Amino acid sequence: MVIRIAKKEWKEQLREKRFLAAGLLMVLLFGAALISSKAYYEKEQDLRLHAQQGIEENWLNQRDKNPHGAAHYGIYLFKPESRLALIDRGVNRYAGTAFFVEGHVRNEAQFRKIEDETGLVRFGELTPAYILITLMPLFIILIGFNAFTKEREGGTWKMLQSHNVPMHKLLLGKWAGVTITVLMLLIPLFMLMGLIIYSVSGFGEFSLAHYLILGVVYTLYYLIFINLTLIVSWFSKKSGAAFITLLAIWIVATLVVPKLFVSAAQYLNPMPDTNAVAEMYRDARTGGIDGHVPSSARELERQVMEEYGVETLEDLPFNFAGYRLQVGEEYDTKAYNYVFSHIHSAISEQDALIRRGSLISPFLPVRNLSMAMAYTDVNNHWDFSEAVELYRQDFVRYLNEDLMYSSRTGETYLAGSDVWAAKPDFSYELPGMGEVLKAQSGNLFLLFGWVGISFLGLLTIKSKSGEG
Amino acid sequence: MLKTDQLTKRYGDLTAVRELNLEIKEGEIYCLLGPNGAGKTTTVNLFMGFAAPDEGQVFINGLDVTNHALETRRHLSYIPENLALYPNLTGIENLEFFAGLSNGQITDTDLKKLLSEAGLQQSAFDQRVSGYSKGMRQKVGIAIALAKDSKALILDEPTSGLDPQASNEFARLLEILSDKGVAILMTTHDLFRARETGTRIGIMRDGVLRREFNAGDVKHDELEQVYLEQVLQKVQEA
Repeated sequence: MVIRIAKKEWKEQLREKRFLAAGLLMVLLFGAALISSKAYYEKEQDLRLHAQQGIEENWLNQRDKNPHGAAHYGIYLFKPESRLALIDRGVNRYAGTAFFVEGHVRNEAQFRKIEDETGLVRFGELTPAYILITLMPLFIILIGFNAFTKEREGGTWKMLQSHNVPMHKLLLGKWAGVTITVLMLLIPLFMLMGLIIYSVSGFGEFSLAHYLILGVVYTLYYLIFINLTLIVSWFSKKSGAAFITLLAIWIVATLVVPKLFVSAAQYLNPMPDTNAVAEMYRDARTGGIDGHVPSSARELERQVMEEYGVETLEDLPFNFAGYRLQVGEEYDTKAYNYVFSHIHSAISEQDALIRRGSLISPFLPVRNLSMAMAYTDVNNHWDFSEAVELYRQDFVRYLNEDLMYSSRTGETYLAGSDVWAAKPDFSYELPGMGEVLKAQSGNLFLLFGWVGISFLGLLTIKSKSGEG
Repeated sequence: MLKTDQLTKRYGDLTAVRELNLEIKEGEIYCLLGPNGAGKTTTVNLFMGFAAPDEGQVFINGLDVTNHALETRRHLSYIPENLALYPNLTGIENLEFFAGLSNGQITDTDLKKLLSEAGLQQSAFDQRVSGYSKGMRQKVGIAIALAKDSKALILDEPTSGLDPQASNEFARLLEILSDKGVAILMTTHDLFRARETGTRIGIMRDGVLRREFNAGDVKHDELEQVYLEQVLQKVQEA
């Protein structure tokens, strides 16, 4: 009986102009989003590849110079991307994907694509993730809002009753019918998207496991909306009322709550702006950290000469200039760690507040999980930023130590191509699936919670119908 | 087959059906007449189990509807005034769906046979119901009832809005079902159709069964006079 009802629902949907129009619109929008995202991704990756090669060549071909000069010359490091970034660009456009690595300064990411865009980007961008997370629930609402109300309005409700259709079977049939219709659209789109992403050869990593989990996350999200749609349709007397109610739920869940909680997070836990960061750094550098004021240069000279039992800096077994630079660098690093721990703390507090919004809207955990699977979320940005900072310390230490041990105090020393070529290599691997899932355990818990609650809601229908 | 015993149903202060005693045997076509608000549809709803009685009992095939709603509906088919079918499905698909709910899988040949038996033109089998006339929909309803092989059929004003030819065809179908031993309860405003088709006729007003006739024992004029008296009474009371 359940299959019969599901088949009937599915057949009716296929012949419904509303479904055909909405389905066609979804396919067209999805196609447009996929094509534009692929073009954007390929262009960006191409630029990045060329830039990385150019930067490497420039570094190796720079003229002979003092190693500290080379530390200021610096290099750029680019955040590696998963090909799934083609689906969900996440924070990349806003946070930047390239870091300038140099002495003394821990830079934030640069080349934020948003800076190259016109004001039109404020209206949002069409990405596959936008279609899948924001518009797909609307499609579900469109095909399911009258699942029960149409039976009441059309009079078939009594016909079904007169044929002894138990409520749980009708419910299961309706659920299966709507779910099959959604999957019928989703599966081909997802397969097409997978093929296109896979075909973007030579760029980024492609993890089938991440892609499949992304598919599961989206499917669970759709189940929530399918269940909500059926619950509202059951409790509504008229199709119009059901549609308006569901539209309001959609607006609140996908538009209002995310913006409201992001605004609240920004207001309650504001991120320090550039000036504030600079000031914080200045205070940490001059006012001392935990009361430790940096030794003055002369005091440092005295300490080192005493330690090595020499009378003059020239008698030291290394170039004191390099030593002093390294000590200063380590102090700078401490100051930056202090500043960035504040920034990280603000981000964590914002994240915690936004997560509370997930109790009102399933959009938020899904949005976070989608970005996490595509490695375009804040966590991944932060993880890469930390890896870059660790590398920056190695990079600057290498150059300072070259100055220290390749010359003596007072000598003029110019490092050459052999020094540039031997600089430490930077390697960064995107976190594994286990790490990502662990970091996203809160969002996963909330998503499963929503799925569970929505199914409990369906059970309410069963009990309200007197079959409970 | 269909029976009520001191059946009463109230909606707030209004008593829609009062102490109704009715019995319809196998093969009988009982036409329930009455002005609007007489309690006809409430009686149907009580038989169908769509509403629960406040007092008294409703029996189908000897089983109390209140306590055995699912079991009694197995013996029952129902055709409302505007038979509700799924407009995006064809006649044969609607029949397959509803018949399948009761009987499981039915072959395509059997479905077509049922629709032919119900008098639907073959060319309409595969047309969507959204393009059907009321008469055509009623024929699909009869086919559904035939497929269910019910022992009883309840019809709520099935001929209202049908043209005379469609109404005649419909009456013929009811006679076929009656010949098969199906007990039929039909509410209607159509005195002519009631006398022509029914084996027994009851007239209700204000929830009370006022008069009962054997259709063969009453002339049309006489039936009309009694009916009008009831309607006038209702108007005067109003």
